[in-house]
Amino acid sequence: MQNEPNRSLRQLRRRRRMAFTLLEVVAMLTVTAAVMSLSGVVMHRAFAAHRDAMQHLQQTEHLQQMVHRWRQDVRAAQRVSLLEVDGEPSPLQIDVAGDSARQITYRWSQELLSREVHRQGELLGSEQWSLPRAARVNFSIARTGRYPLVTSRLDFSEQKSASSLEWYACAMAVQAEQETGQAAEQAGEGIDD
Amino acid sequence: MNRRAAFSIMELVIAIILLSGAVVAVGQFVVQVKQGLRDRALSRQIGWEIENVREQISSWPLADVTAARIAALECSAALQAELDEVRWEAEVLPLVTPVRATQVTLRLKSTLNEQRAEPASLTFWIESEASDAE
Repeated sequence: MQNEPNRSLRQLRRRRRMAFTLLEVVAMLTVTAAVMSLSGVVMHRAFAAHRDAMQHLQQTEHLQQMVHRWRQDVRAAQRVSLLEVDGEPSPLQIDVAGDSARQITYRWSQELLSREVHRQGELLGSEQWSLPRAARVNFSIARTGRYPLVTSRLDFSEQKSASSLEWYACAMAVQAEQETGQAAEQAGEGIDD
Repeated sequence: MNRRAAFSIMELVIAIILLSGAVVAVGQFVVQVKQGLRDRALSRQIGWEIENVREQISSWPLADVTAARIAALECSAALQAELDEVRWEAEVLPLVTPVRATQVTLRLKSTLNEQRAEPASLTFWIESEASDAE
C-alpha cells in the first residue's frame, strides 16, 4: 500500500510527463519563499522610506500654510520691526495701518509658532503652528534695498543632521520716509537686524 | 479514493510566475509612489525657491534689477542637492505702457538626466514709483 504513490509517480514519469513529489514541491516552494522574503525585506524598507517621505511632505505642506500667511502679513505691513527679547528669538511685529489697523506679532516658543493679532491693545485672535523635528524660528529684517526684506529662518535639528529653511517676504507697503525713521530709531535702540 | 500525490511542472511554473508577478507589481507600485512623492516635493521646493527670489528682487532698488544680478543669485543648498547645475536666468524688460514698470521673467535652469531642463519660470512686474521714475 505504501508504494502506491511512488508507483503512480513512476507511471507518470514513464509516460514522459514531468512530475514532482510533495517533498520536491515543498523544497522548491521553500526556495521561492526565501527569495520572496528577501523581496519582502526590500519592500519593507521601501515602504518605510515612503512613509518617511510622506510624513516629511505633510510637514512641509503644513509649514507652507504658515509661510503663506506670514508672507501676506509682511506684504501688507506699513511697518515691520523686531521686538527686543533677551536671550530668546526676537518676535516679529507687523503693523498694518488703514481701515483694518492692527498689530500682528509672530513669536516662536516651545516648538510652536504663534500669530497674535491686536487692535488698540485688545487681542483679536491668535493662531499656532506646531513645528516638528525640534525646529527653531528666527526672524531678521534687511533694510538695504528699496523695501525691507524680512527673513524667516527655520532651523531643524534632526537625528543625524541639522538643516535649515529660509523664506523671504518683501514689505512693499512700507513707506520709505517712515522706514528711514524706523531704521534710525531701531539703530538707536541697538537692535541688530 | 484516488489521491493525487504529484504536481506537474506546468502547475509549478504557473504558481511561480503568479507569485513573481505579484512581487514585481507591488515593487513597481512602491517605486512609482516614491518617485511621485519625490517629484511632488521637488516641485513644491522649486515653487518656494522661486517665490523667495521674487521677494528678494522686489526689495531691490529698481536700478539694481538686472539679469546679471539675478543670475548671480545662488539657489538654496537643498535645491542644489536635488538638481544638477541649477542656476537662475532672467530677462528684464522696462515697460512704459500701460504703466511704468519693469517686467522680470525668471527661469530656473538645471541639468536633469544629463539633459538641460527648465523646471520652472515666473514672469512678474515691478511697478515704478514716482521717485523711481524721475
